[in-house]
Amino acid sequence: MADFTTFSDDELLRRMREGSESAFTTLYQRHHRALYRFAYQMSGSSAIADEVTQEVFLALIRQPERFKQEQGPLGAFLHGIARNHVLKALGRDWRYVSQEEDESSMQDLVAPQRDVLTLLMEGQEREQLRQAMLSLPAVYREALVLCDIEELNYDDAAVRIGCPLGTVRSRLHRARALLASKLEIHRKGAVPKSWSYSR
Amino acid sequence: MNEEDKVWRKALHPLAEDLPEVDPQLEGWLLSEFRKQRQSSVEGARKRIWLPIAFAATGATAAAIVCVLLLKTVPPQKLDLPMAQAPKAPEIAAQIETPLAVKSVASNAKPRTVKTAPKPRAQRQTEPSATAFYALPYADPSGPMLSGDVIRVSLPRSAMGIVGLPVNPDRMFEPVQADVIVGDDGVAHAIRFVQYQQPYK
Repeated sequence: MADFTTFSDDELLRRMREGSESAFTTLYQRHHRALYRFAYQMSGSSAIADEVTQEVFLALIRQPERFKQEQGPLGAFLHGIARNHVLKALGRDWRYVSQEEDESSMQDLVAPQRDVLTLLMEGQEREQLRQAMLSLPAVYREALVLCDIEELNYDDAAVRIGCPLGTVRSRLHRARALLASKLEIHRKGAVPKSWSYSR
Repeated sequence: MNEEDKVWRKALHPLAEDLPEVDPQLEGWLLSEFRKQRQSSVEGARKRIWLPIAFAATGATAAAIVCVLLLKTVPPQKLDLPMAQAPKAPEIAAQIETPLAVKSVASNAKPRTVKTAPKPRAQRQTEPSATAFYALPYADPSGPMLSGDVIRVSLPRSAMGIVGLPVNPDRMFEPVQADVIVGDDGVAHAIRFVQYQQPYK
Protein backbone atom coordinates (compact mmCIF):
# COMPACT_ATOMS: atom_id res chain seq x y z
CA MET A 1 0.00 0.00 0.00
CA ALA A 2 1.33 3.44 -0.90
CA ASP A 3 2.61 5.72 1.85
CA PHE A 4 0.65 8.86 1.12
CA THR A 5 2.59 10.96 3.58
CA THR A 6 5.56 10.95 1.23
CA PHE A 7 3.54 12.27 -1.72
CA SER A 8 3.60 15.86 -2.82
CA ASP A 9 0.50 18.00 -2.46
CA ASP A 10 -0.05 17.95 -6.21
CA GLU A 11 0.10 14.19 -6.32
CA LEU A 12 -2.25 13.91 -3.37
CA LEU A 13 -4.68 16.32 -4.97
CA ARG A 14 -4.60 14.34 -8.21
CA ARG A 15 -5.38 11.14 -6.32
CA MET A 16 -8.03 12.89 -4.29
CA ARG A 17 -9.74 14.00 -7.49
CA GLU A 18 -9.68 10.38 -8.59
CA GLY A 19 -11.58 9.53 -5.44
CA SER A 20 -8.87 8.48 -2.98
CA GLU A 21 -10.00 9.02 0.60
CA SER A 22 -6.49 8.44 1.91
CA ALA A 23 -5.18 11.23 -0.29
CA PHE A 24 -7.82 13.59 1.06
CA THR A 25 -7.12 12.58 4.65
CA THR A 26 -3.41 13.11 4.15
CA LEU A 27 -3.98 16.55 2.70
CA TYR A 28 -6.23 17.39 5.63
CA GLN A 29 -3.67 16.18 8.15
CA ARG A 30 -0.95 18.12 6.40
CA HIS A 31 -2.67 21.49 6.20
CA HIS A 32 -5.48 21.79 8.69
CA ARG A 33 -3.42 22.89 11.67
CA ALA A 34 -1.77 25.80 9.87
CA LEU A 35 -5.11 26.95 8.50
CA TYR A 36 -6.77 26.63 11.88
CA ARG A 37 -3.92 28.47 13.60
CA PHE A 38 -4.05 31.31 11.11
CA ALA A 39 -7.82 31.64 11.46
CA TYR A 40 -7.60 31.52 15.23
CA GLN A 41 -4.79 34.06 15.44
CA MET A 42 -6.69 36.38 13.14
CA SER A 43 -10.08 36.07 14.78
CA GLY A 44 -9.36 35.04 18.36
CA SER A 45 -12.34 32.70 18.09
CA SER A 46 -12.13 28.93 17.98
CA ALA A 47 -15.64 28.82 16.49
CA ILE A 48 -14.59 30.99 13.56
CA ALA A 49 -11.36 29.01 13.20
CA ASP A 50 -13.34 25.73 13.05
CA GLU A 51 -15.74 27.17 10.52
CA VAL A 52 -12.96 28.57 8.34
CA THR A 53 -11.09 25.25 8.38
CA GLN A 54 -14.26 23.46 7.41
CA GLU A 55 -15.00 25.88 4.57
CA VAL A 56 -11.50 25.60 3.17
CA PHE A 57 -11.66 21.82 2.89
CA LEU A 58 -15.22 21.88 1.62
CA ALA A 59 -14.05 24.16 -1.17
CA LEU A 60 -11.26 21.72 -1.92
CA ILE A 61 -13.71 18.81 -2.01
CA ARG A 62 -16.31 20.53 -4.14
CA GLN A 63 -14.16 22.55 -6.49
CA PRO A 64 -10.68 21.07 -6.63
CA GLU A 65 -10.35 22.34 -10.19
CA ARG A 66 -10.07 25.89 -8.82
CA PHE A 67 -6.51 25.12 -7.79
CA LYS A 68 -4.08 25.88 -10.59
CA GLN A 69 -0.67 24.44 -10.07
CA GLU A 70 1.01 27.19 -12.05
CA GLN A 71 -0.35 29.85 -9.68
CA GLY A 72 1.50 28.55 -6.64
CA PRO A 73 1.57 25.74 -4.11
CA LEU A 74 -1.55 24.16 -2.69
CA GLY A 75 -0.78 25.52 0.78
CA ALA A 76 -0.94 29.09 -0.52
CA PHE A 77 -4.18 28.33 -2.35
CA LEU A 78 -5.79 26.92 0.79
CA HIS A 79 -4.48 29.82 2.80
CA GLY A 80 -6.05 32.21 0.31
CA ILE A 81 -9.45 30.60 0.83
CA ALA A 82 -8.97 30.70 4.59
CA ARG A 83 -7.97 34.34 4.41
CA ASN A 84 -11.09 35.25 2.45
CA HIS A 85 -13.32 33.50 4.95
CA VAL A 86 -11.56 35.02 7.94
CA LEU A 87 -11.75 38.54 6.57
CA LYS A 88 -15.37 37.98 5.63
CA ALA A 89 -16.05 36.88 9.18
CA LEU A 90 -14.26 39.92 10.56
CA GLY A 91 -16.30 42.30 8.45
CA ARG A 92 -15.62 44.28 5.34
CA ASP A 93 -13.67 47.23 6.72
CA TRP A 94 -10.39 45.42 6.37
CA ARG A 95 -10.35 46.14 2.66
CA TYR A 96 -10.25 49.86 2.97
CA VAL A 97 -6.78 50.71 4.14
CA SER A 98 -5.83 53.63 2.00
CA GLN A 99 -2.77 53.19 -0.13
CA GLU A 100 -1.47 56.48 1.15
CA GLU A 101 -1.65 55.25 4.73
CA ASP A 102 -0.04 52.01 3.73
CA GLU A 103 2.88 53.64 2.01
CA SER A 104 3.46 56.40 4.51
CA SER A 105 3.81 54.02 7.39
CA MET A 106 7.52 53.60 6.84
CA GLN A 107 8.11 57.29 7.31
CA ASP A 108 5.59 58.03 10.04
CA LEU A 109 6.28 55.21 12.41
CA VAL A 110 9.51 53.88 13.71
CA ALA A 111 9.67 50.54 15.44
CA PRO A 112 10.57 50.46 19.11
CA GLN A 113 14.12 49.69 20.08
CA ARG A 114 14.92 46.14 20.91
CA ASP A 115 15.46 46.64 24.62
CA VAL A 116 12.29 48.67 24.91
CA LEU A 117 10.40 45.97 23.09
CA THR A 118 11.75 43.30 25.40
CA LEU A 119 10.66 45.34 28.34
CA LEU A 120 7.24 45.78 26.82
CA MET A 121 6.81 42.09 26.29
CA GLU A 122 8.16 41.01 29.65
CA GLY A 123 5.52 40.27 32.12
CA GLN A 124 2.72 40.58 29.58
CA GLU A 125 0.14 37.92 30.05
CA ARG A 126 -0.46 35.87 26.97
CA GLU A 127 -4.09 36.86 26.95
CA GLN A 128 -3.23 40.56 27.15
CA LEU A 129 -0.84 40.12 24.29
CA ARG A 130 -3.49 38.37 22.25
CA GLN A 131 -6.08 41.01 22.99
CA ALA A 132 -3.68 43.74 21.97
CA MET A 133 -2.98 41.95 18.74
CA LEU A 134 -6.65 41.34 18.03
CA SER A 135 -7.30 45.04 18.42
CA LEU A 136 -5.05 45.81 15.45
CA PRO A 137 -6.63 46.44 12.05
CA ALA A 138 -6.96 43.15 10.21
CA VAL A 139 -4.45 43.89 7.46
CA TYR A 140 -1.75 44.73 10.00
CA ARG A 141 -2.67 41.82 12.21
CA GLU A 142 -2.39 39.53 9.21
CA ALA A 143 1.17 40.66 8.52
CA LEU A 144 2.07 40.12 12.16
CA VAL A 145 0.47 36.68 12.28
CA LEU A 146 2.17 35.47 9.13
CA CYS A 147 5.62 36.95 9.68
CA ASP A 148 6.08 36.98 13.45
CA ILE A 149 3.87 34.17 14.70
CA GLU A 150 3.75 31.73 11.78
CA GLU A 151 7.32 32.80 11.00
CA LEU A 152 6.97 32.90 7.24
CA ASN A 153 9.55 34.85 5.33
CA TYR A 154 8.46 38.06 3.65
CA ASP A 155 8.27 36.51 0.20
CA ASP A 156 5.92 33.75 1.29
CA ALA A 157 3.83 36.19 3.26
CA ALA A 158 3.54 38.42 0.19
CA VAL A 159 2.36 35.46 -1.88
CA ARG A 160 -0.23 34.49 0.70
CA ILE A 161 -1.52 38.00 1.19
CA GLY A 162 -1.38 38.66 -2.53
CA CYS A 163 0.46 41.95 -2.35
CA PRO A 164 3.97 43.24 -3.14
CA LEU A 165 6.87 42.56 -0.81
CA GLY A 166 7.17 46.24 0.09
CA THR A 167 3.57 46.30 1.24
CA VAL A 168 4.21 43.36 3.56
CA ARG A 169 7.20 45.13 5.03
CA SER A 170 5.35 48.37 5.58
CA ARG A 171 2.32 46.64 7.07
CA LEU A 172 4.49 44.59 9.37
CA HIS A 173 6.40 47.66 10.43
CA ARG A 174 3.22 49.52 11.20
CA ALA A 175 1.68 46.51 12.94
CA ARG A 176 4.67 46.19 15.26
CA ALA A 177 4.62 49.86 16.08
CA LEU A 178 0.89 49.79 16.79
CA LEU A 179 1.21 46.69 18.94
CA ALA A 180 4.06 48.22 20.92
CA SER A 181 1.98 51.31 21.38
CA LYS A 182 -0.96 49.30 22.72
CA LEU A 183 1.25 47.32 25.05
CA GLU A 184 2.71 50.52 26.34
CA ILE A 185 -0.76 51.70 27.24
CA HIS A 186 -1.19 48.51 29.22
CA ARG A 187 1.96 49.17 31.12
CA LYS A 188 1.53 52.86 31.43
CA GLY A 189 3.54 54.07 34.34
CA ALA A 190 5.98 51.22 34.14
CA VAL A 191 7.38 52.27 30.83
CA PRO A 192 8.20 55.93 30.24
CA LYS A 193 6.48 57.33 27.20
CA SER A 194 9.77 58.33 25.72
CA TRP A 195 10.75 54.64 25.50
CA SER A 196 8.07 53.74 23.05
CA TYR A 197 9.78 54.82 19.90
CA SER A 198 13.34 55.52 19.03
CA ARG A 199 14.50 58.18 16.62
CA MET B 1 15.83 37.75 8.87
CA ASN B 2 17.27 40.66 10.78
CA GLU B 3 17.66 41.16 14.50
CA GLU B 4 14.40 43.01 14.81
CA ASP B 5 12.56 40.10 13.26
CA LYS B 6 14.16 37.70 15.71
CA VAL B 7 13.18 39.82 18.66
CA TRP B 8 9.60 40.14 17.52
CA ARG B 9 9.27 36.46 16.80
CA LYS B 10 10.61 35.65 20.22
CA ALA B 11 8.34 38.19 21.82
CA LEU B 12 5.22 36.89 20.11
CA HIS B 13 6.14 33.24 20.42
CA PRO B 14 3.78 32.69 23.36
CA LEU B 15 0.88 33.36 21.01
CA ALA B 16 1.90 30.42 18.85
CA GLU B 17 1.71 28.07 21.82
CA ASP B 18 -1.16 26.57 23.66
CA LEU B 19 -3.67 27.06 20.90
CA PRO B 20 -6.99 25.23 20.96
CA GLU B 21 -7.22 22.20 18.70
CA VAL B 22 -9.48 21.94 15.72
CA ASP B 23 -12.77 20.15 16.37
CA PRO B 24 -11.88 16.43 16.22
CA GLN B 25 -15.20 15.61 14.55
CA LEU B 26 -14.42 17.88 11.64
CA GLU B 27 -12.24 15.36 9.83
CA GLY B 28 -14.95 12.69 9.94
CA TRP B 29 -17.58 15.11 8.76
CA LEU B 30 -15.39 16.31 5.88
CA LEU B 31 -14.68 12.72 4.94
CA SER B 32 -18.39 12.00 4.70
CA GLU B 33 -18.79 15.11 2.52
CA PHE B 34 -15.95 13.85 0.37
CA ARG B 35 -17.73 10.51 -0.08
CA LYS B 36 -20.99 12.23 -1.00
CA GLN B 37 -19.23 14.42 -3.51
CA ARG B 38 -17.42 11.43 -5.01
CA GLN B 39 -20.70 9.55 -5.31
CA SER B 40 -22.45 12.44 -7.02
CA SER B 41 -19.47 12.91 -9.34
CA VAL B 42 -19.62 9.26 -10.37
CA GLU B 43 -23.34 9.46 -11.02
CA GLY B 44 -22.93 12.73 -12.87
CA ALA B 45 -20.21 11.25 -15.05
CA ARG B 46 -22.36 8.21 -15.77
CA LYS B 47 -25.25 10.45 -16.80
CA ARG B 48 -23.00 12.63 -18.90
CA ILE B 49 -21.82 9.59 -20.79
CA TRP B 50 -25.16 7.89 -21.36
CA LEU B 51 -27.62 10.71 -21.76
CA PRO B 52 -26.41 11.99 -25.14
CA ILE B 53 -26.17 8.44 -26.42
CA ALA B 54 -29.65 7.62 -25.15
CA PHE B 55 -31.09 10.80 -26.61
CA ALA B 56 -29.42 10.27 -29.95
CA ALA B 57 -30.55 6.66 -30.11
CA THR B 58 -34.12 7.35 -29.11
CA GLY B 59 -34.27 10.41 -31.33
CA ALA B 60 -33.15 8.37 -34.30
CA THR B 61 -35.64 5.64 -33.40
CA ALA B 62 -38.41 8.18 -33.10
CA ALA B 63 -37.56 9.72 -36.44
CA ALA B 64 -37.60 6.28 -38.03
CA ILE B 65 -40.97 5.50 -36.47
CA VAL B 66 -42.39 8.78 -37.76
CA CYS B 67 -41.20 7.97 -41.25
CA VAL B 68 -42.64 4.46 -41.11
CA LEU B 69 -45.96 5.72 -39.83
CA LEU B 70 -46.13 8.35 -42.53
CA LEU B 71 -45.65 5.70 -45.16
CA LYS B 72 -48.45 3.56 -43.84
CA THR B 73 -51.58 3.30 -45.94
CA VAL B 74 -53.94 4.44 -43.26
CA PRO B 75 -56.30 6.90 -44.97
CA PRO B 76 -55.32 10.24 -43.56
CA GLN B 77 -57.83 12.83 -42.60
CA LYS B 78 -57.61 15.46 -45.26
CA LEU B 79 -56.91 18.93 -44.04
CA ASP B 80 -56.48 21.78 -46.42
CA LEU B 81 -54.24 24.26 -44.75
CA PRO B 82 -54.19 27.39 -46.82
CA MET B 83 -52.45 29.29 -44.13
CA ALA B 84 -54.45 32.44 -44.59
CA GLN B 85 -57.84 30.70 -44.55
CA ALA B 86 -59.85 28.80 -42.05
CA PRO B 87 -59.63 25.01 -42.26
CA LYS B 88 -62.32 23.23 -44.15
CA ALA B 89 -62.81 20.11 -42.11
CA PRO B 90 -64.39 21.04 -38.82
CA GLU B 91 -63.47 17.76 -37.13
CA ILE B 92 -59.82 18.39 -37.89
CA ALA B 93 -60.10 21.97 -36.88
CA ALA B 94 -61.40 20.82 -33.53
CA GLN B 95 -58.18 18.95 -32.99
CA ILE B 96 -56.14 22.04 -33.48
CA GLU B 97 -55.73 23.91 -30.30
CA THR B 98 -56.18 27.62 -30.21
CA PRO B 99 -54.13 29.56 -31.01
CA LEU B 100 -52.53 27.43 -33.67
CA ALA B 101 -48.88 28.19 -33.72
CA VAL B 102 -47.07 26.45 -36.52
CA LYS B 103 -43.64 27.80 -35.89
CA SER B 104 -41.47 28.55 -38.88
CA VAL B 105 -43.72 26.68 -41.29
CA ALA B 106 -46.31 29.43 -41.33
CA SER B 107 -43.87 32.26 -41.07
CA ASN B 108 -45.29 33.95 -44.15
CA ALA B 109 -48.91 33.40 -43.26
CA LYS B 110 -51.13 35.64 -41.22
CA PRO B 111 -51.72 34.56 -37.64
CA ARG B 112 -54.79 32.40 -37.59
CA THR B 113 -56.91 31.18 -34.78
CA VAL B 114 -59.62 28.61 -34.82
CA LYS B 115 -62.21 29.61 -32.31
CA THR B 116 -64.17 26.92 -30.62
CA ALA B 117 -67.18 27.35 -28.42
CA PRO B 118 -66.54 27.09 -24.70
CA LYS B 119 -67.38 23.70 -23.38
CA PRO B 120 -68.70 22.51 -20.06
CA ARG B 121 -66.10 22.03 -17.37
CA ALA B 122 -66.63 18.29 -17.08
CA GLN B 123 -65.99 17.89 -20.78
CA ARG B 124 -62.91 20.08 -20.76
CA GLN B 125 -61.30 18.01 -18.05
CA THR B 126 -61.13 14.94 -20.24
CA GLU B 127 -59.93 16.78 -23.35
CA PRO B 128 -56.40 16.41 -24.53
CA SER B 129 -54.03 19.26 -24.04
CA ALA B 130 -51.47 19.81 -26.71
CA THR B 131 -48.32 21.70 -27.29
CA ALA B 132 -48.02 24.18 -30.12
CA PHE B 133 -46.96 22.80 -33.48
CA TYR B 134 -43.23 22.71 -33.88
CA ALA B 135 -41.53 22.76 -37.24
CA LEU B 136 -39.58 19.59 -37.80
CA PRO B 137 -35.87 20.15 -38.22
CA TYR B 138 -35.69 19.06 -41.83
CA ALA B 139 -38.84 20.93 -42.94
CA ASP B 140 -38.33 23.86 -45.27
CA PRO B 141 -39.48 26.90 -43.35
CA SER B 142 -39.12 29.30 -46.27
CA GLY B 143 -42.42 28.90 -48.09
CA PRO B 144 -45.98 28.57 -46.81
CA MET B 145 -47.56 25.13 -46.87
CA LEU B 146 -50.64 25.28 -49.03
CA SER B 147 -52.36 22.13 -47.85
CA GLY B 148 -51.62 19.00 -45.91
CA ASP B 149 -52.85 16.28 -43.62
CA VAL B 150 -52.83 15.92 -39.87
CA ILE B 151 -52.06 12.41 -38.74
CA ARG B 152 -52.32 11.23 -35.17
CA VAL B 153 -49.44 8.93 -34.26
CA SER B 154 -48.03 7.38 -31.13
CA LEU B 155 -44.33 7.91 -30.40
CA PRO B 156 -41.95 7.31 -27.56
CA ARG B 157 -41.65 10.37 -25.36
CA SER B 158 -38.02 10.68 -26.34
CA ALA B 159 -39.25 12.04 -29.69
CA MET B 160 -40.18 15.24 -27.86
CA GLY B 161 -36.48 15.93 -27.66
CA ILE B 162 -36.39 16.37 -31.45
CA VAL B 163 -38.12 19.73 -31.13
CA GLY B 164 -36.32 20.69 -27.94
CA LEU B 165 -39.02 19.82 -25.42
CA PRO B 166 -37.81 18.50 -22.07
CA VAL B 167 -37.90 14.74 -21.68
CA ASN B 168 -37.89 12.92 -18.38
CA PRO B 169 -35.17 10.28 -18.81
CA ASP B 170 -37.14 7.88 -16.65
CA ARG B 171 -40.15 8.01 -19.00
CA MET B 172 -38.46 8.36 -22.37
CA PHE B 173 -39.77 5.05 -23.65
CA GLU B 174 -43.38 5.66 -22.66
CA PRO B 175 -45.73 6.41 -25.56
CA VAL B 176 -47.10 9.86 -26.26
CA GLN B 177 -49.69 10.91 -28.83
CA ALA B 178 -48.61 13.36 -31.50
CA ASP B 179 -50.19 15.11 -34.47
CA VAL B 180 -47.97 15.37 -37.51
CA ILE B 181 -48.72 17.83 -40.32
CA VAL B 182 -47.80 16.25 -43.64
CA GLY B 183 -47.78 18.47 -46.70
CA ASP B 184 -48.97 17.47 -50.15
CA ASP B 185 -45.36 16.94 -51.04
CA GLY B 186 -45.32 14.06 -48.56
CA VAL B 187 -42.95 15.80 -46.20
CA ALA B 188 -43.78 16.02 -42.51
CA HIS B 189 -43.62 19.70 -41.68
CA ALA B 190 -44.63 20.06 -38.08
CA ILE B 191 -45.48 18.10 -35.00
CA ARG B 192 -47.31 18.68 -31.80
CA PHE B 193 -47.61 16.47 -28.78
CA VAL B 194 -50.93 15.67 -27.17
CA GLN B 195 -51.46 14.72 -23.59
CA TYR B 196 -54.71 13.39 -22.23
CA GLN B 197 -55.38 14.82 -18.81
CA GLN B 198 -56.80 12.64 -16.12
CA PRO B 199 -60.30 13.70 -15.13
CA TYR B 200 -60.62 15.01 -11.59
CA LYS B 201 -61.98 12.49 -9.15
